[in-house]
Amino acid sequence: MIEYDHVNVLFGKFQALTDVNFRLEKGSFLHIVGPNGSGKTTLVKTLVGLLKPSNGSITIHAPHMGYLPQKLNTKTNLPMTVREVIYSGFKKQKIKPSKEDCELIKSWLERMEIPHLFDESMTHLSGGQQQRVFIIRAIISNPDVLILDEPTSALDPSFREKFYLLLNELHQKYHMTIVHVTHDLTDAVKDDCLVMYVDQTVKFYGSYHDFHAFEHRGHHHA
Amino acid sequence: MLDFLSYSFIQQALVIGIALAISAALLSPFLVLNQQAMIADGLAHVSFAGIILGVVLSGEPLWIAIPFVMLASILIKYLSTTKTINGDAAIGLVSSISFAIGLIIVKKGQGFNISIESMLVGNIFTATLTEMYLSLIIMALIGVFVLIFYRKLFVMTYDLNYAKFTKIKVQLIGYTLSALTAFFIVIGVRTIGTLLISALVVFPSVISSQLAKSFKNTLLIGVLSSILIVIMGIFVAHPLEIPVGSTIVVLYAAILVFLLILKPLWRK
Repeated sequence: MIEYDHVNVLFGKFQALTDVNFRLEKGSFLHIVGPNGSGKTTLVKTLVGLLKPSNGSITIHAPHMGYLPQKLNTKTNLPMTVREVIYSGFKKQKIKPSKEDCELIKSWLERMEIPHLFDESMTHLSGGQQQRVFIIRAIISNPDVLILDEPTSALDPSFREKFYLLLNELHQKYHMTIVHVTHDLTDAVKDDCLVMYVDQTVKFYGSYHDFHAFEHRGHHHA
Repeated sequence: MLDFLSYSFIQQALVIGIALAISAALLSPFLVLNQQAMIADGLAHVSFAGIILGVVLSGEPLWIAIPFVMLASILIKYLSTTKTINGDAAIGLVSSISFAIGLIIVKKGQGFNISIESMLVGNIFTATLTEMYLSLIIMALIGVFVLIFYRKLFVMTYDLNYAKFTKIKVQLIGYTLSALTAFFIVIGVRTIGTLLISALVVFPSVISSQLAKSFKNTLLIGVLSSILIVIMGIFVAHPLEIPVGSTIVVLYAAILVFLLILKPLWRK
């Protein structure tokens, strides 16, 4: 479903990613880890099409992708309601969503424990509540691939756990392919997940089980 | 009391004023809430040079000024996308160079029948019929543009990366927004003045975002309040014989101050 073939990304003289090669099959759950400045977000940006590789090729067979960017890149101090932000996640930009769409939004708001905030202004929400709104925006149109760039950074620990349960449900029940960039692997991982360790290039790519062995050989993620 | 409404120049001023108010308020949230408020101010300076150049080169300065300022707006947009110059620096560069060239042409140009003061302050009561039609045309163009691209413009305003990710043509829409802003500014400079036209773009969103929770209401309240303020401005300015542009800006400012004082009180 996703294939990277000798992908390099250069910013001027700085080589952010070197010779990245991997294949990701449909229905996989991949965690991308690595130290700060290791190129994780650069890799994600090439995946979602925000950044073109300097050379190499990227093939993606997914009609529809969902994306949760790192929170600091999104303005939340504007006069806009939760409703407006969620509507902007629909594949087709529509003025009024259908009845089914409304039901879907309602169920997600309940899952995210923010049903009372639908017509609230984003400026009145806490960082964690805003992040839940952006999560709904990313999944509302039922994407084939869901790409999350450090989604839990703004979430409080109690909700973080529920969030990972939700991701697992999306993966298992809806067979969604999930690419998850994280600082903290520990509370996210199920045994059938894949892990990629990035440090300017792919240093490790394999099962979570094998990643333990890789770590014990002296590589540590941040 | 409303006798003066029967004068055709007042009627014309009202049509131009309302058309410009609607145009500016429709552009306002997409520029102001996207940290591009100063682009209107910069383009007003460019218009100054554009119109003077137009006076020198042709009988109808607007035909030179409109493409000139549209090109400048595209240049500003282009410069601000390069990594070496940031957005406000690009506006500062292009606008100061244009203004300087404008002043040199005025000083050295022969046979000018245009005063710098009238360029800086503008006069809505002496506007021509062509300017009235152009005001209506720009209102229609901006109206259609915002209506068609509203959702896309909204996403681009609050999350440009997400807009790119969803395959919104951010370059094309961004350049179109700049070009329409330029067109609006040129028409506005002649009637409201070089120094004050940017206020018409900046105030609506700043005022309406004090009142509105949603982006849509910010846009709508901005449009309605601008229409009211421009009409009030014309009604107040004419009998007092003070410039309309200045009156409008003072009214906007008074309402903003009023809102800023009241807002903490009704929150309690």
